[in-house]
Amino acid sequence: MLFHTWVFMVFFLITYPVYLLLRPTKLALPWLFITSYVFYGWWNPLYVLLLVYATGIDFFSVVLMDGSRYRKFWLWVSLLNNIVLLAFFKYATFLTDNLNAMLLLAGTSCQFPMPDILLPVGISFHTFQSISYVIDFYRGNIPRERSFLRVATFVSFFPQLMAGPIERAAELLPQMQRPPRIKWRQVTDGLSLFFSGLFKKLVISNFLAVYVDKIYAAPGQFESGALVMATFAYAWQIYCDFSGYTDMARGLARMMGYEFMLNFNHPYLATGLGDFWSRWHISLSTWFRDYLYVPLGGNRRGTLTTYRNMAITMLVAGLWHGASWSFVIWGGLHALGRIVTRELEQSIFYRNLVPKLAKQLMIFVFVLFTWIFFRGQSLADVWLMISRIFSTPWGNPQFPVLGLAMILGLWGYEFLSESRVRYLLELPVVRVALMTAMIVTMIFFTSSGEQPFIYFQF
Amino acid sequence: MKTVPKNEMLPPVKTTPFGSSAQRLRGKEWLATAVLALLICWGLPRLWPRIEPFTPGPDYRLPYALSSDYFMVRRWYQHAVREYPVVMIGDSVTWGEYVRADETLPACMNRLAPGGRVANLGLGGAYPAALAGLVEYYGNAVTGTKVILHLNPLWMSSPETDLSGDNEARINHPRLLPQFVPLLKPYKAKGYKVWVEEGLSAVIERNTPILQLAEHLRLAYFDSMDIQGWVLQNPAHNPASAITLKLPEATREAKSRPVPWTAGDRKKQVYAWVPLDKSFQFAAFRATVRRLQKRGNRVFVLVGPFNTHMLTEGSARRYADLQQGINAWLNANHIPCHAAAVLPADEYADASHPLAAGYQRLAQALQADPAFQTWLVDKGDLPPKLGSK
Repeated sequence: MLFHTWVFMVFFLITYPVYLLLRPTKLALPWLFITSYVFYGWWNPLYVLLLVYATGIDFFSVVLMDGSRYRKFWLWVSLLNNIVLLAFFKYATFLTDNLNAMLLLAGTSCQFPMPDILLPVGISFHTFQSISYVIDFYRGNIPRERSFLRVATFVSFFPQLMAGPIERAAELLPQMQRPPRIKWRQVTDGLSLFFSGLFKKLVISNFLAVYVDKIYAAPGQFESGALVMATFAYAWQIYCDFSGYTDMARGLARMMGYEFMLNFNHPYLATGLGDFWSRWHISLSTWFRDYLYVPLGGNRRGTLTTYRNMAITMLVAGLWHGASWSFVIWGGLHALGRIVTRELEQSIFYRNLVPKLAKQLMIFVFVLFTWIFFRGQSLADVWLMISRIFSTPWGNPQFPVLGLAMILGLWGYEFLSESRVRYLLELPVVRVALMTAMIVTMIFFTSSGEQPFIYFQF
Repeated sequence: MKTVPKNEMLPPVKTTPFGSSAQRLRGKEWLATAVLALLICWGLPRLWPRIEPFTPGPDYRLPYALSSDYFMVRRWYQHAVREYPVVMIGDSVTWGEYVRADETLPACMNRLAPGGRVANLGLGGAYPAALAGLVEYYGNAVTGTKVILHLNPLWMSSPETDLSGDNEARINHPRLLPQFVPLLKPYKAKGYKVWVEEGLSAVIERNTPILQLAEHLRLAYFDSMDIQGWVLQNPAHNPASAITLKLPEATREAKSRPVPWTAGDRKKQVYAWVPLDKSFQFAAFRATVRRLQKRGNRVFVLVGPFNTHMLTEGSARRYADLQQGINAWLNANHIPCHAAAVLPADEYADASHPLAAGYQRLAQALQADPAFQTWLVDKGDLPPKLGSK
């Protein structure tokens, strides 16, 4: 169920009070577990079996790893199981498609049938979360969790099950050891996060999506103005969609006494690609840093190796987002961007003399360009878009003025948040006025059409 | 049950940074926000009728584009009950699908008897089950007045139209129907997720005036599009500028081409006719009658006229049984009624909608019915009307 639906509101209005009542008892964790599985099973009851299976393999891999001589073996059992699951559900069609293309190139007419597999929602997120538990135990960073229920709840905890943040076992499992004491401040913070996230999703993201979908559905019919504006809108759509979801997830968790990591931190104010990835989908970028980049050697083996490791990490990160070459190219572009900005940041001129605003704009334009690969419906569409951006006149993009106002409003708000005058945004009257306006606007912006969260497809 | 003492509960962990673009309100600020938001949500729907002019003229019927605008339906009901001695509730037969606004049944009745003014509360796309919901959730104003309730037998002609079939049906006014109890089979056919989500949305909306107002604005000022869709078509415009406070005009012309059904192939149809004791639509009709009576209204039922020229012999026989059953129930419950006689074949547009001449004939027949006249003049214990003429 989506956070911004009435079904979820009813679900939470039942789950939360019962949770508060059960919190001092031993039933609190089972209640969270049951409600999380009901939440996941709402999409498709069969998904629950998959979740139980995956969690079971990881839990017992750790059990068997504990004190064993074959720790690496059990680690690989768990890792391979998760990789196979991802490969099967997420990449089977992609792999088959490429295999068939290679067979055609080789001159054979033999073709594998295209598999028709339903992608379980959020599989990329909960498998990564589960993997982090296994690897952290293997590395000795956390003790073995003896309760299957606690591990299962950690993996399936409903606020972050579908689209993160990808929590680490070292951070979340200890929070589940005993019932959390919930302070009033956490409840108000949770509500603030939830409603802010809901506004970003319902009002801004859903609004921009209508324009973006229209242009990206048929890029050959539009001129460069519309294509550029659609990409510009998409940058904000995906940001508001994903950060909105994360805010809601963090808000819900905070109301229940659990702390989730910050996942977005004004990414479009980044001054370099490294900075961008320390602000965008932080839980994913740090996951890849800790479980791929660092094991590959990180930045400890010279510049070329560092860049090689960066490239591999970003290419895999691209592939994680979707089973398509355009996602791989997207990852590759970000790898290139990181390498270039890292090199630029070595120079005093760039570091000290180029204005911060110029850096921010440059990074934003670069990220904007890469979003074309992320959003394009196919590689052919991507190339078509890029060629038409540079070869057709600007024309009249017919971009909604209201959309532009929303984007500039949010951008300005974020600039102010990191500026010296951020205290203006923290005045009580401003906070109350803004939140009231957001709530009333949401009521009038709820549309009959449903826009699922973008990152659910991953 | 053993509880964990508070001092053993985990203290709040070191909090992570709050958020990037979220407003962080404290308790008192949330209280202020809640009060303000509730005030707006409570006050705006009540204030809105004072801001938005609504002056229905003679022979007014709700614009077809606003058929699903229940905020506006309620408003029209309130106005009609205040200004008219009699109101007529029904589906598109009452509304006048194939005729102009001055040719509908209420309009014809008003011309025949200038003293008795009848308001047209017909709703396009409605049917007995939808009317039951309409009266229950949006018809509170229909109190202490005279109500002609039209029953169109078409809605009992098959399990599909009766909403007692198994297949997913394309239903008008789904938000007026019972969403969960009873569980309608056409809903079940949609799958549980869609059913629950749509059902919850409908139930919440019908109990939340601000959501009804939002829907009214969407239908009346944004061409029935959501704001996103409207802005896409009007990119240079501020959506607020679309709210001109000028309601869509009443539909003066016929919605569908007024061509007699006899101009077609005149093929006889087989209608299954659902038995009355099993009919969901008839049960809804009975509930509507009772609800109206409970609210102190004097109810008169008009049944038909159904186009029996279209029926095969077997279907016509079953229809006659159905009619008898309806009359029996009405008589047993002492509800004054008029079972409309079949009109000439060329005065029908389809199975149940008369053309202009048909409405004229029907109005005359009703006027000449002693039961109707008795009901019309009998003031009984109805409160006096402010706008009675």
